[in-house]
Formats: sequence, C-alpha cells, structure tokens
Amino acid sequence: MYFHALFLLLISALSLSHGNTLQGTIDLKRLQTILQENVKSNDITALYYSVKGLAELNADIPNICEHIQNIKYDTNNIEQVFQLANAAAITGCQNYLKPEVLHPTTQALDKKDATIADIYHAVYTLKAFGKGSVYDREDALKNLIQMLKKDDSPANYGYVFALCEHMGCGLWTASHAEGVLLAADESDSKALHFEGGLPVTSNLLTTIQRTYKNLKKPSPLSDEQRYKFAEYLLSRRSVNTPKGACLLIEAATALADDVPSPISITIKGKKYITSESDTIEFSITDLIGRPVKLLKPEEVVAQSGTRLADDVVVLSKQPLTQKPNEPTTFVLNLSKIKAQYGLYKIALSAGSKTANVNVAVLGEIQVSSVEVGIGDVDGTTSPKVTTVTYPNKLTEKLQADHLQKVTLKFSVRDKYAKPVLVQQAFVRVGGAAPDQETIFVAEPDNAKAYKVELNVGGIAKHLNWESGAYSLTVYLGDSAVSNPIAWPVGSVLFNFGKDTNAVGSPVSGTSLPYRGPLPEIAHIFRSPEARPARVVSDVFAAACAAPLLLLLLLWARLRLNFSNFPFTLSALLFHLALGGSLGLYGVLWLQLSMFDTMRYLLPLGALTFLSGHRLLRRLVSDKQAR
Amino acid sequence: MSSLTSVIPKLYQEYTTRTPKKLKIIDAYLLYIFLTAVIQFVYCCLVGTFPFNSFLSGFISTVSSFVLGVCLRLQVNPENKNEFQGLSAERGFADFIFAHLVLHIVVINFIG
Repeated sequence: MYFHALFLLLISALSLSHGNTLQGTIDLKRLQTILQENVKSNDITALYYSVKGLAELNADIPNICEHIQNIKYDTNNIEQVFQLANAAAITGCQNYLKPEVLHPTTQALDKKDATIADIYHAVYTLKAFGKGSVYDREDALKNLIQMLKKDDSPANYGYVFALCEHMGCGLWTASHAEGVLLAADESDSKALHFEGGLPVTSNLLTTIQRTYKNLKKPSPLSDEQRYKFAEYLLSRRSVNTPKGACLLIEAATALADDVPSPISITIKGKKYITSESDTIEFSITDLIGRPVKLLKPEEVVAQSGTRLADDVVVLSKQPLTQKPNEPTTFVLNLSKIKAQYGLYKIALSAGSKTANVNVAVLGEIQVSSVEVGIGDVDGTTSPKVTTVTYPNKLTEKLQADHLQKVTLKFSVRDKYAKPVLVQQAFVRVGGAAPDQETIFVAEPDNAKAYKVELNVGGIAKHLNWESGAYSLTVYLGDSAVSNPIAWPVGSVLFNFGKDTNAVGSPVSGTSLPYRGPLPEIAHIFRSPEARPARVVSDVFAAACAAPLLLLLLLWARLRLNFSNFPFTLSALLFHLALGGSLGLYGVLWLQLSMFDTMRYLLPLGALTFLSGHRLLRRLVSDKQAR
Repeated sequence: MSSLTSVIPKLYQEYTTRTPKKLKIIDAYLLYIFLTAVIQFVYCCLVGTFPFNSFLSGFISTVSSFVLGVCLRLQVNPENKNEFQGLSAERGFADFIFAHLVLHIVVINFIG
C-alpha cells in the first residue's frame, strides 16, 4: 500500500514536470519610475496610486503634505475622497487635511441606495483617519451579502473581501474565495483574469492572499491558476499609468509571495553559441525577477537537448552552474554540441518545472569556388567552364545568347571542409537599374553540390528582354550560420535576341486607377510598308501593258476591220456613252465619290442602254435580212 | 512523244482553219487578259502585296474579265447554238458590256 502511494506520487510528479513555466518577468524598476514621475501629480487618482505603489515597493516617498493639502478634487465624489484620505494616511499627512473632508462618507453610508463600492470607499476613508467605526459585525455582513445577491460581480466580491478584512470576517472570505477564483475568465486557455480587468483582478488576488496569510492557511490558488494569473499579469506588463503600475505591482508581488511561486525561465542575453563563446545564460526567477525561493542550484538541469533538424539527442542531464554573485543566472555549457551548427531544443528543468528553449549553434560556412559554364540549351556541345575562386571575380566578360544556358555549380562546406546544406542558397541576376533583378534558387543534389541553370531565353521575361551586362551574385545563408556570404561572381553579357523586344515590351506606367477622362482613341492606319524601287514598278507597269500590244497585234493578224461599222447615230452614241462611262470610272478612281459617280452614271447608262439596244437590234435585223 | 509533236501542229492547223474569225478575236482578248493576270501575280510574288486592295482589285478584275469573256465566247460560238435557243450573239454582247460596267465600278471603288 505504501509503495502504491509512492508510485502514484511519482506519476503525478512526472506529469507536473511538464507544466509550463513563465517566459518573462515583470520589470518592477520600470514601474517604479512611472510611479516616481507621478508622485506629485495634480490628479488625485494618479497621486494616490503612485504613493500606494511606492509604499508597496518600500521605496522612498518624498514629503508631499503641502501638495496634498492644496490638491483639487471633487468633494462629492466618494472615490476621490477615499484616494485623498488614503494618500494622506500612507504619507502621514492626515493633519494637513480638514475634518470636513470626511463629510461625504457619512452621507454615503446613510444613503439608501449606496453601492458596495461606495460603502468600501467610505469605510476605508474613515479608517485612514483612524475612525473606522465598529459595526455590528454580523449585521453588517448580512447586509453586504444581501447586496451581493443583487449584484454578484467579481468587483463587488473584491470590495466585500476587503471590508471583511477590516471587520474581521476573514473566515467568510476563506469560505467563498475558491468559488470566486473559479469564476475567473480564461482567455486562450492560457491566462486567467476577472471581469473588470486589472483593477478587479489585482484587488481580488491581493485581498485573498492577505486574508489567507492572516488566517495562516495555505493559498487557495492551484498551481495552474497561479501560472495562468501570472500569464495575465505578464500580458499587461507594458502599462504606462500610475494606476496600472500600482495594481500590477500589488498583484505580481502577491502571486510571487505565494508558495510555491511561479517560475520564469528565460534566456539572458544571446540565444546562440559560436565556436568562440559556447555558453548560454539562463535567468531563473519568480514573477518579479527575484531568485526563486526553495530552489537549490543543483536542481537546475538541462534534461535533454535535441537537434531540430533530425531529432537526434545530443545531451542529457547536464547540470547548470550558478553564476557567482548572481543567484538568478545559471550557465549552460554547450561545448559538446558546438561542432555541428543548427537549431537545438533544450528541455531545462528547475525543480519540478520544465521549459523548452530553442537555441542556435552558429557555425561558419565557406565556399571555395564556383564553376560558371556556358553551353547550348540542347546540350549538343560541351559547355565552356570557367572556375572562379572565392572571393575573386570573373576576369573575362562572358557572353551568352538566347540559345545558350549559363550553369553555376558550387558546394558549401563547413569549417571542417565537410559539405553541408544551407537553408538559403540563391543566385541573383541583376541589371544596371536597381529594380532590374531576378533571383534563382540553387538546388543541391545528392552529393550536396549546388547547381543553378539559367536558361538565357527563359529568364529573358524576368529581365524585360533587355540585353546587356548582368551581374551574378551568389547568396548563402542559414539561421544557424554566423557568416552569411554574398559573393559577386562577376558579370555576363546576356543577348536575348533581336525580336524579343516586340514580344514582351513591358507595360510601363503606374498601376493606380485612372480617374480622369481617358485619352481619345484615334484609329491608326497600317503603316505603309517599304515600296519597291521606282524602276521595278515601272518595269511591271510596262509588263502589264505589254499584253495589250500583243492583243492589238493578234487582232491585226486576224485582219480585224471596221468595214461592218454602221455609221448611224445610235452607233456613235453608244460608243461615246460607253467610252464616257469608262472615263467616268477613271475620274471616280482619281477624285469623285461613289454618290457623285452614280449621279453621272445613271443618265450615261440609260443612254448607253437605249443606243446599244437600238444598234444591236439593227445588227440582228441586218443579219437576218442578208 | 512523236505523237505529241505531230498533234500540236495539227491542233493549231485545225484551230486556224475551223474556228470562226469572231471567236479568234475573243480568244486573242482572253489571251491578253490571261497574260495580264499572270504578270500581276508574278509581281505580287516578287515584290509583295503591299497595297493589298489594289493588287486584289487588279487581279480580280482580270479573273472576272476572263470569266465574262469565256461566257461571251460560249454564247457566240455557233456550235452551241442549241444551248442558247432564242438568245442571239448580240444579246450576249450586250450582257457582256453590262456585266463589265457593273464589275468595273466595283473594281474602281475597291482599288483605293
């Protein structure tokens, strides 16, 4: 039975060891400067919280009694009266205030519809003057519980718990605190806070913690709640107002004073090691940057370290050493793993808490040479290879046209001349203009040799088809490399061919939407092509006319005659009209429009038709008569 | 081959003796049109078709004139008399003139 219990305990301890730790602390120094800047503020709220926060930090408070005496505030606002009275009480300046200051408190307490907040402010104002009237404790608590039934917000519970502290009903607080804590809102399943934000959360945490301390009871907060409230406070650590600073200080101190206190594990300083410095410093503190109580230095151990790239475990159970004179700083020596660069995950445990931290081991890379080869795209001829050693440049100017390709080959080695892969290996092709560039990824092969093939015809579209000299630069980098390399290898003349400009001339101009009237669209005629030389045209014109001559010759050989030509009016008219029509066509070609031509053509055509009809009829009748 | 050499003079002789004079006149005209079209086409092959509409209208003009000439020849040919019952050669010539007038106004309009 005993062993069984021990076993269960062991299991629970193991599961606990995977609990989160905090990844930051609240900087009290910064908050303190905010408070010190506002301690002489003319705003009573800022002044009250500054004084209160400084008192919580046990810091020096300047003598501000005269300032408090003359400060302006709303005499009817019970909250401002409360702030004035308590600021005076903390600084010991009660005597500088007149007794009339207390009048609003009696009014607030006599009011029928007084809220719990009013009662809290009134009672604590009176208490600041040492007049805390002794109530009938039972009766007063009953009244407060009645009021809570009407409005049971966390803020009201906070006020009632605070009043109970004064009245001595801490046991009632203890019986209700856990329920109130369970009502806290959770955000992202990571942080806990109360409705109403930092003021309510801070008030409840401090009051509950104080009450339990007075009752000498262990804190009602579970370990998980403690971390989640601490996460919430961490998320608010950038507050800038004195009120926020004071509330944050109070809440964070209350949580940090709780036992066991939440632990924060962070890397202090650099997050990487190099071959020169092979240690990493961790800072292990509570929420407000103090050394963790009950944590023995030998309990801080790096449980395991794995390389992220291939999950190989590289170290286990390596203890950390506490830095002398700095109880919060622990040093981890990583000289064992500095040989191989990369990212490592280290599980660091402090007591029962474990945090996973990523650290980088930075290495150096080197590239000895690059082979620049220029060959045909189809691979018919063996490429011409030029080797350039780092960090020199190409001495001769290489040329490649659109039927060729440029190949760059190089291998990256670590400090020990072993080929390695890097996360980033690029080749940049840059032109004369700064924005004229294109970047290619170098791909490694199985032997870890990098290769980039630039097909000159193919890359033309990335470079606007502008032939010219382009510089080649090799870029090598890795998140775990301490000396990234940018090596200008030299320049190559790319010739993208003569017609390529027309195909891909870039669209220039802005891409902004154009809001004015668009430019008028003018029709552009096809530009005339080059015409043949005058001689050629003339020769062909003569050639076209030549068959006409042939026709006349042939007709002459056939002994064509006009013996049958009837010299009548209709024959003459017909030939004249037909000739006129053809002449009209010539004029149409040279100057007239179609409509004008039709107007002249209609009477001519009619005349031709009539005379032609008559002439042909005569011919037919003559033929028949013969 | 010898038959071919003997056929061609025979054919020519037949043509000169048996074909009416009117048809020979039309044939001369057709030959003239054909040669003009060929020369235009050669020009277009050698130099280019740049004012394309001009080339096209010239070429189409010759082609259509050729077609119209062939039509006239068919209609005038005495051997085809049965085909064109009631249509005299003069009627054919009138049609030929009319078609030419219509064709060339289009050609001139298109030549630019």
